[in-house]
Amino acid sequence: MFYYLSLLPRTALFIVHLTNHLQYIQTAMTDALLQEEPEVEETWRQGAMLGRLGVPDDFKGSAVFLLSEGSSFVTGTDLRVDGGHCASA
Amino acid sequence: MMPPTAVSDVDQEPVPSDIYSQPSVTTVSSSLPTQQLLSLAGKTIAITGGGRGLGITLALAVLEAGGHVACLDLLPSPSPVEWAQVAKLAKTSNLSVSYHRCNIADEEVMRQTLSDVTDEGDRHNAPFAGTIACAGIQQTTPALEYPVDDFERMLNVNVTGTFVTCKQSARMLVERKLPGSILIVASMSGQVANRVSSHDTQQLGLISRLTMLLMFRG
Repeated sequence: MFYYLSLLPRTALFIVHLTNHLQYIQTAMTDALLQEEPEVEETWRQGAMLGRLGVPDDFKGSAVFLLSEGSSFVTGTDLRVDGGHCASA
Repeated sequence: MMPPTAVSDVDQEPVPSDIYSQPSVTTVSSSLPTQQLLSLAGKTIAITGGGRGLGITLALAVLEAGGHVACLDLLPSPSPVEWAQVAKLAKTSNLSVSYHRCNIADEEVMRQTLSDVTDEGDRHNAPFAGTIACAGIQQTTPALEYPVDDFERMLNVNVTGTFVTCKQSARMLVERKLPGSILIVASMSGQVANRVSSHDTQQLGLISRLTMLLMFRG
């Protein structure tokens, strides 16, 4: 059993927050929404302690860490990349 | 019998300096020097949703970290501007990058695609080392008008699709006895109340279900 477990891949939930996943990240998917309802951007921005919307680049470091040997003792957990949104909720 | 006396840790005998090099101490992969620890050199990573947006940015990240990438997406072809960057970086770094068109909810297709990715990795001497499950769709519709069909479509892609991605990736790693990581990109909406879309319930289900499934398998 333990031998089998050691073959299991490490899994980590990589929680993309940016205040609600792709919704609060500036990507093409959210740009359209922001164009229609610009006041939404201010609401989102205020939600994040770091005072800005996230961008896809904000996830690069965390993804690489979780894929590398550096996280070889990390599994079954989540890494929240949300500019502090959940912490301030 | 004398009562126990307080022992000062300052007065203790120093720990012998060779204690950490004793053969009984396990050497783990984390023993690598830090720069290598955070490198993805010699690894091939699959990224679903790698055709645009977050996925394609993470493809760039993997390449910059020295890894090879396989982008999986439903789109006929990846976002042209970003893909040009990805292809250029791969070329100058002598790393491979590939694009596979597939539907993550189709298990047979996913099994075949991931098998191809793993074989590809072997050819480049960079074994398959995991997946970033980044594919997802979203739809903002007022809750009281949300059609059930749309809800089910989102469930199929976001939850079932991610499940299939994780299952087949894990299978590939276990079958070929490869170490690796599976990352699931999910939304905060699953844990904090938010008035957006069906995204919320789906993400919550996704998080709890997949974590349990993958941790307690076997």
